[in-house]
Amino acid sequence: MAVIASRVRFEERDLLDALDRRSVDGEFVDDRSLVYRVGEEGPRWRAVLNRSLAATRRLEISRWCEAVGVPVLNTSETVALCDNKIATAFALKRAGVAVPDTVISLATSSGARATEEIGYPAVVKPANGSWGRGVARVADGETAQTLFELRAQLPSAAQKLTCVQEFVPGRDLRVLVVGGIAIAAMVREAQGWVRNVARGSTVAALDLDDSLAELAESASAAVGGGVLGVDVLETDTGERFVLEVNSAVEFRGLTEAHPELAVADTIVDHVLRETS
Amino acid sequence: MVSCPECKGAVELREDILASEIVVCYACSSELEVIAVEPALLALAPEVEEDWGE
Repeated sequence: MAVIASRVRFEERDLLDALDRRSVDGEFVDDRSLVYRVGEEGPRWRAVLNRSLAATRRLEISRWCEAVGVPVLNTSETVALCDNKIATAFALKRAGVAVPDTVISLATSSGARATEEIGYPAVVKPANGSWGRGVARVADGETAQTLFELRAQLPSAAQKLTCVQEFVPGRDLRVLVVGGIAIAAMVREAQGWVRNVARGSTVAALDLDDSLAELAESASAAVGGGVLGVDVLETDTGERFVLEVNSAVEFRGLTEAHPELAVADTIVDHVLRETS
Repeated sequence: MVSCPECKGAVELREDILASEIVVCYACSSELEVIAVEPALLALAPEVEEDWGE
């Protein structure tokens, strides 16, 4: 089995060790080294765990694996849906999963109109991006105008696609879903309102109640399933919304919150079951 | 033991370390990438790129 990744971080090392514990050959492949001819057979891997850090490479890796008939987690469809917040929002809405009110703008010149539609405070997110990068909470129209003027200067065209959502105060939850089953949950806490673990937020274990599990599993199904991190916002009144679904889920934080849980082993067992 | 490229502190590596593996220097907290394994060589881990993430 191959673990294709950009760097061997905690998660990739844990996955390779889990394969080793099961006496399954685990090969690390650096995604920066890949060169392949279209139409040519691929390596004879039993499966690929696509752990690329780079969203653009991640999609191509899954697409290549599918073209050469190697089972891959996650599929290109799932990666494409998760790595674009606009696509995620449509997929979740279509599946009846609760999401915050969302308005899309396709150019920075119309961004402020989207924030006006949502009302203030509004959360402005680039359609692509992770770890809370480029996400801003905008308090008023003047600030929105300034933010979009600054974003207009960004060289990346993709960064000009914007998802604007209503700001919903509450707790930030993360649920790991493997093969359609919610495995465990945690709460992410930070001083500010952006609470990604990659930005240094602290984590605490959270009991996975039936309704949270069902919400996360519905979100997983909406994007095609696999191994996913579902981000959920829970309001003071207990209302829950799915914010995002992560297709290259990091689980260091979840492992800290649930030291009793062997996350990598659960993922590996799922892949082995699916490819037996 | 390998020398940290930032502070020259000693960084201990596991025996089966892989190229591209990320390690942390506990002397200076730098995030380091293993760029070669025989012999082991470390470099400062690259900055986050635009499309990196989960």
